[in-house]
Amino acid sequence: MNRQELERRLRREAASMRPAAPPELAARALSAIADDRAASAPPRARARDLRPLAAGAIPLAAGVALAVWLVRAAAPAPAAHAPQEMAARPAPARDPADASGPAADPEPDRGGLDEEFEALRSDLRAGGDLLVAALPQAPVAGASGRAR
Amino acid sequence: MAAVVASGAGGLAMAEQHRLADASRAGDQEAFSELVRRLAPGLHRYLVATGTAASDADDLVQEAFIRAHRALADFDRRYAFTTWLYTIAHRLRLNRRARVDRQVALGAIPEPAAPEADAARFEEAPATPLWDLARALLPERQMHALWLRYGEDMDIGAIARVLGTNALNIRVMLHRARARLARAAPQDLRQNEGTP
Repeated sequence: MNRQELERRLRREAASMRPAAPPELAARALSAIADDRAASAPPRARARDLRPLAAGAIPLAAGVALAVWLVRAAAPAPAAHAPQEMAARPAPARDPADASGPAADPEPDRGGLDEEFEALRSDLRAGGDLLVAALPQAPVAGASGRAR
Repeated sequence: MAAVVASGAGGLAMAEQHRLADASRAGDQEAFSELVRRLAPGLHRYLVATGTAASDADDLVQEAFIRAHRALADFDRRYAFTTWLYTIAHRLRLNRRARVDRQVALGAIPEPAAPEADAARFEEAPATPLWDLARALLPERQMHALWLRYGEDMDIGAIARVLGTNALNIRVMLHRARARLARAAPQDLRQNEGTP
């Protein structure tokens, strides 16, 4: 048998051999794919659910960072200073290249954040007042006792 | 690389395969369903013709389409979708066999195939003395290459990709397979042809 004859017979026999696939094979495969898609969907859905949370967390973290910065800017001077003096203290010197804070941008549009931070600052002032009021004005008795 | 329309390609030309694959990748589930409907029978036939039990072939076809669906983004448009699909199926089959071999090595009892059911599916098939001879005579990889060439009409490059080798190796395999069949076939076929 030469090559051409062999190839012809192989093709002819292969074409006549159509036995194996059950009729429902494609339907079962499609069903399995649908199941697989459904099984893999929840993690993606969860990721989508978390996106708004992440979107909210970023401004929140920025707000907290700004609040910390403000608190540090209004950091209490030595205890002998009055709270009013503390509030009047200028902010520490800043790097001129750092334009992120109010020192470089005195009137940014912060969409109502000023009011919130002003309220926070007044709370801190009130807390500072209470703290100062609670400080003993006279020398500490214990300390003098130890000195003796 | 040019690809011919393989008989196992469900009559889908390469351009049509690409169109359906692109649509599937874009989220068109109906396009992927069309690929499954057109290609599943041919893939099943390839697996069974090259020695996989029909019941295992059912599972492999499903698994191959699931893997393809998951990895549509990785489909390389230089090749026919069938080439990619058959490559996935071939690797799944190798993995499955390796797993079974490990189980046997560990002393576990492998799940038995259902030879009666498989045999029943072939009962009404026309006699295929040459392919029967090929299955009896040829090493497994030669048999796979021979089927992909003459059963699926794949070109040499596509066969090499499916079997994970190079084109030269496939040419050598096909040459050896044909030579072996040609040597054995005449008397075998003469006996067949002698019977009415």
